[in-house]
Amino acid sequence: MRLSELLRREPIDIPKRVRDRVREIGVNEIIKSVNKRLKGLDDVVLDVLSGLMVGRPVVLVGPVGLGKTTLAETIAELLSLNDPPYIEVACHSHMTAVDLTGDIDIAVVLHAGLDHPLSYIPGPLVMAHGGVLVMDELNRLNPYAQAALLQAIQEHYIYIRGYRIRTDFALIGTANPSEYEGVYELSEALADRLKFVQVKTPDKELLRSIILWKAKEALGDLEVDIPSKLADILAKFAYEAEKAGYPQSIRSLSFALADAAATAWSRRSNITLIDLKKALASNLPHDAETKEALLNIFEKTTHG
Amino acid sequence: MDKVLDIITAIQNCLGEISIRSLAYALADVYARSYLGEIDDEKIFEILAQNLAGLLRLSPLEAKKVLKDAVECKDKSSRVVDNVIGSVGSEKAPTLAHIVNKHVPIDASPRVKLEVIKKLNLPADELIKGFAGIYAKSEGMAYLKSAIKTIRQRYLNTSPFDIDLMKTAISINRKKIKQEFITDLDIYIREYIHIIDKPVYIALDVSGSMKEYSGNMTKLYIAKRAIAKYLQQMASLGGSVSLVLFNTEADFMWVPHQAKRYLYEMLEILRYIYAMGGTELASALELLYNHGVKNDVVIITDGRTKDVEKVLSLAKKFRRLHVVATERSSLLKQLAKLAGGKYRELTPMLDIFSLHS
Repeated sequence: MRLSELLRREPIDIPKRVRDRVREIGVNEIIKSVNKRLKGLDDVVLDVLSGLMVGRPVVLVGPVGLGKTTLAETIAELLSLNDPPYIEVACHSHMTAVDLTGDIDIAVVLHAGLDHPLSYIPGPLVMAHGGVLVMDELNRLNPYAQAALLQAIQEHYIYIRGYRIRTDFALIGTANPSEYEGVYELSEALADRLKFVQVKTPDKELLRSIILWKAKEALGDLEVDIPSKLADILAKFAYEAEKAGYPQSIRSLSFALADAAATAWSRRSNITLIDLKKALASNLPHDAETKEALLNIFEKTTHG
Repeated sequence: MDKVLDIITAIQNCLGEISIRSLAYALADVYARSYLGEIDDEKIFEILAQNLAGLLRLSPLEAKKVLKDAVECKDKSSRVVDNVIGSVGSEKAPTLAHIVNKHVPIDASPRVKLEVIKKLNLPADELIKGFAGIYAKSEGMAYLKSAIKTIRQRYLNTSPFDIDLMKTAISINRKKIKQEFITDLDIYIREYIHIIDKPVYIALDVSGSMKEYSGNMTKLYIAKRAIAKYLQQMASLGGSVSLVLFNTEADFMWVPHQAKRYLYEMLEILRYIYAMGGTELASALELLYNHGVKNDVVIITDGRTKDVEKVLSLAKKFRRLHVVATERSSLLKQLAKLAGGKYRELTPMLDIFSLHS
């Protein structure tokens, strides 16, 4: 991208574009399309869309493995405001403001002039102009990077060494609960400009079907029969574990089920509870102590 | 949709200075969401909560609860204020903590609680000031030790001040008798618990007797000043503090929160704390014990309690229960001794922090 082109950028009314796209596709159609990849999040989808329609950046909050990032990507893909439909950033605490805005490469400038395509390497905040910016784990950004994001959201301009570049984008972020490690508190000004939508664990019945569906998806063309009873047990286990204060990741659960099925396939036998327990032990993302507590809960669920 | 506007005005009235931007977006969002699908009252609150959650520093679910309570705030607040003024002199009276916790969850942040207090129009003291602005902020303070955790063999980078002389002497003597070489392993050091590792709980007596004068200030005011100074010290060290108010009953004014982050709010809330009602020291100990707090508690009281037996039996369950007495009291001295804490008398120059050392 040449700097001169970037400086000539026109403002884009993103909320209007989103509204037009929603009208064009139709609410039911959007929900139907999302359901092909994620189930049980209809309400969340509408909450996200309504936020974007009024020009408010939306952040999905909830524990890991409930499909927050996938949902953000799916919505961005469906809206396809631009080509590519979305720019994704995996935020981390060492990210600087320059990582988000991009910077001018002085060496190239000296050799080839300021308007050489490689003189300015744009960052995601600039690239997302006209489309959707998906910021994964937004609350891992340190205060410096948050300030750059705030400026882009608030003024719709970013400043690079004195040059002012227009940028309009719809922001969908995801965030983990503040108890998680390595998470920064969002600055007050930024938090005031965001809409937070909670993604909850679905109810037992739905969870069961999601686990089964995702496990089958993971197994692909491996010919193996997963007894639905096992998914039932896992759903019950997830429910009990959440009651005990350990919300479970649907991703880990479905992969545990797929893992158990793959083990059984390689042995050419049926999946047993022991397979499932072993797979759970190796797939749950917790420390040894929590794992033991969880496996105890699993034992209780299977025997109860 | 007038209803939504009413709700938003009610929230604004109750919670006070709430960002107009967030409220405006919340309103627009409700409209947009109603275009996408049917919404009922619950959903309206949910959408409002989603938009205000960032501002209130709560999760969307908690924010929804706060907003729902805030809508009914108007009638309640006037009733509460009457109640407070009407019960002067009687035995039972709600503390500030009880009043605030009626409106917000007990574990809400000091910021949210301060908003509620301001809305209730309670009288406030003048700004708490007058203590010396100089206090140690050196590294030594950050490692301030409160109790010995273990005694173990020396390892690298330990301070010579931590050497346990008794154990080291025994070990060296033993080697001498056996005529073996004395090595580094014969030196034993003490490992301490550091006071900012865990939250510190302060229980402040707000019974009517705290209104008595000691010198030219009320005992309550002196206590508040001591707490304010302590909060500043904890803020500079990065520790967490919780405040419990008690007269005949006890409640959390705020549960453990980082003093550094909420220093302004905590100091502001202190100004609004008032004194009335009888004293029941056991209520505070019971509350803390029921919440699993067993050590690092500082109690500030005059010790005129109703049920002495209960207090003493509860005190045995605590460790490092420090007592700051607003008047000389043998009961309080005994209490501190029972619970392995320190006993101090409240003076304008008192440094609560020194209790930990």
